Amino acid sequence: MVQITINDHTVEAEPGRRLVEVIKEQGITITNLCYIDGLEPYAGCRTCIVEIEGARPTPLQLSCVAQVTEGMVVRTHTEEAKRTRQSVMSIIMANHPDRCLSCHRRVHCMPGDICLRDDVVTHRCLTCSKNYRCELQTSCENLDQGEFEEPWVGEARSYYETPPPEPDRGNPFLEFDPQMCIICTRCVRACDDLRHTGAITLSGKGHTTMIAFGTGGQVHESDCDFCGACIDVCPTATLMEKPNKWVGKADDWTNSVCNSCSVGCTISYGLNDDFGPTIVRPDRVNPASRDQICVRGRFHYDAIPDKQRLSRALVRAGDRLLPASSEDALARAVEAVSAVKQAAGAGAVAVLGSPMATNEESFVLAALARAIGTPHVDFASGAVHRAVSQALEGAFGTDRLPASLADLERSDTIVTIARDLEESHQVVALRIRDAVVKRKAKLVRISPMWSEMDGFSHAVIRVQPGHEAAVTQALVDGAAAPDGVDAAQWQAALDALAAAQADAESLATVVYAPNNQDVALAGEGAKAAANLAIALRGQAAPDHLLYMPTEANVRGATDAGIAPGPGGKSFAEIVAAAQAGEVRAVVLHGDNPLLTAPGGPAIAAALANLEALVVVDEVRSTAAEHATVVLPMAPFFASSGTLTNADLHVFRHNAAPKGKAPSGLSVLQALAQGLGASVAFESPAAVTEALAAEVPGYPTNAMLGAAPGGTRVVGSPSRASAQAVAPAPASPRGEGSRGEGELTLITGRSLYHSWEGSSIRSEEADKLHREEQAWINPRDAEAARIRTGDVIDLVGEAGTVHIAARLDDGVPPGTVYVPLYFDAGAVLALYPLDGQAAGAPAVRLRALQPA
Amino acid sequence: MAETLNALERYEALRLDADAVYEAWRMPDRPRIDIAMDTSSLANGAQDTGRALAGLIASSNANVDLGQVHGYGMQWLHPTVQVTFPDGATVLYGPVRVEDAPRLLDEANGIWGAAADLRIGMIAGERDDIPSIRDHEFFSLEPRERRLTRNLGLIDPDNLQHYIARDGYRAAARMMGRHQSEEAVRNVLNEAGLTGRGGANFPTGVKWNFLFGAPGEVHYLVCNADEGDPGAWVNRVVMEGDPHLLLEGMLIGAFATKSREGFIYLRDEYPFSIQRMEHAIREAEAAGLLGDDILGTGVSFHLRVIRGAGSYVCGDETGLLSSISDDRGMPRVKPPFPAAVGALGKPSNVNNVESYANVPLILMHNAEWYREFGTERQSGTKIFSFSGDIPRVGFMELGFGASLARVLDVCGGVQGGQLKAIQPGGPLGSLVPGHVIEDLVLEPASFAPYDAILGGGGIVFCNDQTSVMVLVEMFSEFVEVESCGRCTTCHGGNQRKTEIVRRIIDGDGRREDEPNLHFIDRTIQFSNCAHGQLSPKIMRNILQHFHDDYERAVLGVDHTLTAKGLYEVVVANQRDPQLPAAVDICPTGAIQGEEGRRKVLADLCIRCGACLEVAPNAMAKQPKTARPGILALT
Repeated sequence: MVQITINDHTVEAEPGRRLVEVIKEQGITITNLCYIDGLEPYAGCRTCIVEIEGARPTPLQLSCVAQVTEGMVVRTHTEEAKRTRQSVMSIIMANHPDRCLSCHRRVHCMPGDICLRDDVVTHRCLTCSKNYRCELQTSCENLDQGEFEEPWVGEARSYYETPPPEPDRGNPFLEFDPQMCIICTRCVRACDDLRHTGAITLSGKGHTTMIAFGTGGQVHESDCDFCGACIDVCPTATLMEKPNKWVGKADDWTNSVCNSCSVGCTISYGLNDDFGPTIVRPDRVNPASRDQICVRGRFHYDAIPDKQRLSRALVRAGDRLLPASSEDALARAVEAVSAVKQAAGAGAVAVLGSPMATNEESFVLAALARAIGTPHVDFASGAVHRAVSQALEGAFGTDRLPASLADLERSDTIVTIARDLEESHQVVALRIRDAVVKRKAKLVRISPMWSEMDGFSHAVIRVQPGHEAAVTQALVDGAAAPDGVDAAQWQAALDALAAAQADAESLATVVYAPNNQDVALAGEGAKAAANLAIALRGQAAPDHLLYMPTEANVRGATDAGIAPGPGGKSFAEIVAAAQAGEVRAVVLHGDNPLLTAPGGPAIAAALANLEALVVVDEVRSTAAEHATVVLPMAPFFASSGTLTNADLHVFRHNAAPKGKAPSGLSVLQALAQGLGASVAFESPAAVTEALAAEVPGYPTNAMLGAAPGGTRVVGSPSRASAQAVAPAPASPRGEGSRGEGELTLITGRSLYHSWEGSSIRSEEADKLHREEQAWINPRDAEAARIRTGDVIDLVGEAGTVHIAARLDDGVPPGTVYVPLYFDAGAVLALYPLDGQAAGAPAVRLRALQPA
Repeated sequence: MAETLNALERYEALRLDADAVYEAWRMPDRPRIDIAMDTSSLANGAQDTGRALAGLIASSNANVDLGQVHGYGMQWLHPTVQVTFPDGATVLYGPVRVEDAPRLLDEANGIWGAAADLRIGMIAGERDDIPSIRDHEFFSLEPRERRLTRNLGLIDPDNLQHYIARDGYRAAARMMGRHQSEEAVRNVLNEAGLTGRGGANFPTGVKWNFLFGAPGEVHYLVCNADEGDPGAWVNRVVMEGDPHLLLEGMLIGAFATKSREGFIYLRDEYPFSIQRMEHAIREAEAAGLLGDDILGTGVSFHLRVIRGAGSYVCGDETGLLSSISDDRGMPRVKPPFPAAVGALGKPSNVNNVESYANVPLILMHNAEWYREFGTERQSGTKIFSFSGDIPRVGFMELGFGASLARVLDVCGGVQGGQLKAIQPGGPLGSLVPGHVIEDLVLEPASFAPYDAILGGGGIVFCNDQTSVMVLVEMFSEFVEVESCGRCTTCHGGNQRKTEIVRRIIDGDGRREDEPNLHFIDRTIQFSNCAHGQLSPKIMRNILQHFHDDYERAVLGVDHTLTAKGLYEVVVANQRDPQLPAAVDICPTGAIQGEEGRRKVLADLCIRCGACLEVAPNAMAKQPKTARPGILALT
């Protein structure tokens, strides 16, 4: 640290740091329109000029380029410095509709939005959606730009003469209006350096210099992932969120967590007094996500229109579900469940929870199950998680591993065993890219499918679906390349692992995201992943293995008690029992098993067979169609609680209130009370406290308040006994049984869908990819005479899926990929209910409509 | 010791062959006609002349060969050809057009005198009383012995052996063969006082020192051949006239900076240079003078030509390095300097073509030899290209310090009027008033008192029919369009400047324009690179040195009748037979009225000049009356 003087105050600063960051940290306002903290200076806007004593050739220097040196004397607000900044700003203003920004009367107008000079309305800030939240606007105000007499007053500026470039409003997420652009290129650098996506570029030169997406076409035709990192850094209205564009002016902010995947990115909702949450910004609490989120985190709150959310309770009357008052509905629900319990005992009732709900809701739901007295408690993907847990416990004595997501970007070697983290857990994929780009880390991908991550990979092991575990184990054993795996890639992977083993100082991380449709494979994969981590890091393996469940709060739901009790049935068993008439009543909370669990037709039949189905949900899901009673609850973002992410951080989640539906917690509590539970929590915080008392490791409110980003639930792995677990014999799962013309099915989450939307078959479900397609390798397609766009049938043993084909060598020959949430989980019909039995299902192609 | 002999021996072996080949070329068995093939000649029809000669030779089965050389420097006489007779006498002829081809062939084929009127001088040997080309007035300011241009006219630029036979690669071979230290090489350059020839004049040896001391194994040596200033074709002469001189200079540079790879960043608008350089690289590689294990010394140096994509700012060294590195071609923030982070992120050194080309010459001789020419502050010689309103357009190699007034004399003085302005250094250069020419010598310091720079060697003379405002509008638009788009001060400021200048020449000048232009000038100084910082210079020079012209333009007066808003087109002769053609061609129908009473409607006339072209006697330009409103203000 050295001492420098800023505006006559002595300040300690790190030598070599960019001066502008130090100035801003001192609370001094200074215009800097192109600088992004932490990145190399671009030095394009030239508005951060300050006076540095003794600097050559002039004391007026850019503070974003200048680096801190001992004894530096800086003055930010001398007449000369300010005037120079105003001069530069006036040049920027000349190419921006600036009648308000450089108006000396502006201070009189605010916040009236009425122009006393009656200036052209389209040149005023009033007609700009960024009004009152615009960095350019505040910069001009801080700089007293209104006092600066612009040299071009009255000049026929090319800006006002030339027709403005057309704004791009072609996608549902972000709007791009080049007319507002001041060419600071923050977006370009955010996309390149923060996201490693490179969808935005600077095009043209001189006065035609312009930001362009991809090759200059529309945003959705580029590589853009709509993460919105560019929106966060844009100082003008050039890049704006499309949803709530005009009302995204936050009156208040609330800190929250995204529940779209298990990364648990912390986000802030901007609350508008009239509209509720209208805008999302990354909240830096999560040490892994920090200032980045993905399209789901940023836009999920807006996934479906409000009117598609439940606001009133529904009660079955014959074939129909009719609105009812919440009291009546609750009474009816209690009555229906109680009737079954009385008639057939508590064992005839099952409770299904949600891996997307808060810990608190799960905790109360578990209490509800105890009140009923049933051990049959689970959630749709519970078995998958338990299989992984079991494998991890076998290896390390606990499934609560200390490995941290924040270590990913510091890793030197990363092995991912996952279908496509880019689509399923995008921010984890981003941190892996960080490691690859900034640290030259070596990434080994083990996956049945292509991903954007392939481009960042040192080696790509393309496996047949179902072979992930066996192939990973072969890698651990240093075996020869398995059949169908590219030998060069295999060798590259072995070399990378050997190099990681040889360098004990280097950081190696294994990321495992199990297949959610195949319980046995998930367990085997976890064993192989554990063995890989042990092979790489020996006793320290638990620090280097990251398990990424598919859904957001799998860990929390399980910890809070959503798991079969002694003698309890698992989800698949509950479904089977319901089909057989042994389970006759189900309480279903916050999830739609038809959308996540294999064996769709069996589940539908089981739901239809129930005497009583009480659904507590935010939307009228396809499962709710079978309900006796549907109790509405507020969406996740509108309820408070805590959430446990993949690396066992517990984050507080504050409600961004929206709509009239009561919180899930209050609904569940009322239901539980009706069923005889002695739960009477006054607030979510009270549940948090009770949860902390009951579940070992969980934080109290005080702990959460003290360390919003640092509360972790970590077990103590018995490192001394970290031992390789014997994997199941590398059985050729499904192989050999594949008949002529049969393909193996792959499914998984795609980036652009919403759970709620899919659950109700809403058009909004998939805002960008309206026409989802089955990916078929061109070789298979040729054999079956199918072209891209042809409508085909995928015929399995349990059903048929009707879908358009897309020829894509991103899937290996012999496989076909269908997005998980396509047509409300239609593809799950092709999977058997019990994923353990048959492995990945086989399907036949049937061309229906030659293009 | 064996190795030492080996490197020089290998060179001597090459030399032996080369000498024989060159001897045969210099003293051909039968007369040979060498056509000057370079970009300037090609533009003047050298290819047509060549084709005509080839056709004639073939059809008449003449006992004459055809070959090629580079032009000698007298580009107003292009296309030129040389005839070398079996006795080694070489005569230069020009301009030789297609219709002159038979005469020239006759002359070469023994009918001495057939093309006597086309003779310019003797390149080599003696013939009758034809004067030596060195005695020509145009070259009277050059050193008697040319240096950088020593091989022009005396070799076929596409022939490595010719270059070797004229001591080419000797300096490099000697340096490597005698195990000269890298430091010694750099020291010789420092002693000689060689500085960057691109215009920045930074000492070359010091620059090489930076790269030599840079960490890491991979160093890149880069040649800036993105010569884009209008009126400058200095690097082109080296690359098309003596490509191996550049290669040898870079080879020595690579040795002295520990670089194993190099790039020549060559603008795509020089296709002929690209062709010559790429050919030369192939030849040198084949002869073991480039590539791996050069002359058996184990030294390796790989060179590649990278073609620019037409961006002016890629002439800036960091812009050029970005372009080579596959990034957007825009200058970046320094530091880090190229010696730390350059091409492809590795330490690099960028020099101008001419800077490299001087190196073999200095090493072949010594520092004192180099200092024979030039001044105290700036040693050596440099190629300058002269153009504009002069009858003799061409290039010369002059010692620094040569009098610009004398240069103008040998260029034949100013055509079409008095000398108004001198424009050195292209769009980022300066505009110096003509009346100070007596005080100017070709040396950077001489231009400094006029807030001007000498630049990279292109100098344009403007006569008094030039409107400096029209000139600055052209340059202003150029620097605006070529701004890379990084600094708002540059791309925005130059837009504002261009708008103001354009408005003035459109006849709407304002009082406040002058302070505003000064304001823009000051603000643009806060730009990142030289492009921004130098872009307002010519406008500033006009306000400094041509204030009267500026003032008159603001008032709406332009005696040159070139500023579009400051003149009107009128019918000068109602009876001129071409007048109907003018009426017909007018795209806006501005010439109206009955025959005999035609007049131009000012509101319709767009001053396209079409009528003036078809009916030069019927139509005429006439100054507009000055605007009284503005006059009153003064």
